Amino acid sequence: MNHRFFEERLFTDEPLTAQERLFLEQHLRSCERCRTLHAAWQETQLVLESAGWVAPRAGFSQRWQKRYVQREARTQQRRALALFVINALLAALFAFPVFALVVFSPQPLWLRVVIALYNLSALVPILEGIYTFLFTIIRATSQLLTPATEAALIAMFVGLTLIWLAMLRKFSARRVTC
Amino acid sequence: MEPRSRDEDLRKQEPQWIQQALLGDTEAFVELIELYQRSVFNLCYRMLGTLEDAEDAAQETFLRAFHSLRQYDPARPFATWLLSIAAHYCIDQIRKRRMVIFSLEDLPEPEFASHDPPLETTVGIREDQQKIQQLLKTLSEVDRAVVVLYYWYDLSYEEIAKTLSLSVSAIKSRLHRARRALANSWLKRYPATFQEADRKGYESPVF
Repeated sequence: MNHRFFEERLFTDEPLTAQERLFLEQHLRSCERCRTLHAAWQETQLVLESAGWVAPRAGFSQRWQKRYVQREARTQQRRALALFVINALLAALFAFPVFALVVFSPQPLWLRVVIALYNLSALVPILEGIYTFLFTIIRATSQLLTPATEAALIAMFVGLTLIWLAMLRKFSARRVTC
Repeated sequence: MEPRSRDEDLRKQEPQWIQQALLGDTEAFVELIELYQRSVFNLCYRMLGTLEDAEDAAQETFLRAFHSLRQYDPARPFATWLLSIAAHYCIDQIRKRRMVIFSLEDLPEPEFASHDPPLETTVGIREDQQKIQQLLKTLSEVDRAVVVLYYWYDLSYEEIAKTLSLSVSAIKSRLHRARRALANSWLKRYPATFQEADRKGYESPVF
């Protein structure tokens, strides 16, 4: 006997046709298994439908406020700690080469500073060259472009910067899953 | 939702409270908590089975709701949005519990007296509550959520589907499966109830 057909009709919300109802009634009279299951479902349904709501104990919202304050304080502590760790790591990253130079170099400190400044002075012509290069490019570009195109390019650059800032803000914001 | 005229009046102020809460006003959000604490708590209780867990889950639900209020779509009822957060949180909690080595079945039954008395405090009702909780415990977490939202909150298939992020056909199928499982659990737990029914033969009140 195909119990599945009748079981599907026992637990459905869809209204049964007259013929389906008749089949089901006949089947339930003859099949003890489906009849028992049907009776069990009737009982279960009664209990489910008569079940009341369970309310929280008084002062729920006050407890929520307390929890909210505690949670916020904890979050701020965590952020402060994370910021401190990041800053400490960055500081360590930059400080380590300097520290290594100071500690492991055989020359005295004053001599190393003089040598470093002398070496840095070699960068001046390079920086000058970069400045001249960029200035030439900008001058040449401004002569080629119409004022409208120039304005459009500036607007595009500003727009991209704004999008970048918005993305940065979005990804750095706290996420809550729900 | 449970029909209550006072709540209906309060719900008119709901958009205003949401707007204020969006600006970080916790007092406005507390008004929303007062309005919906019962429905959220009841869902958590039906899902998790103890008052302590329900309290924790309901509190967490409102915290999450407050932090993610910007994601709320005003076109959708605020109540179902809250229930969605609560249901997903409870489903996650039940899944996490499975990771625990010891069985919760070994723990003693929860004492209702540990809280101030809720609405249901009589012995008969308490027995019914325990019966219901034991039956619900036999269902999978998602099926349990479907049954609770259907029988306690009178939500339509579409609303339940939206609340649980499932399709309507999946909800229908899960509800059907859950009903069969509940009836079978009832049979296993209370077999004596049906001896009389069998003797009388088939006299279904449904038809």
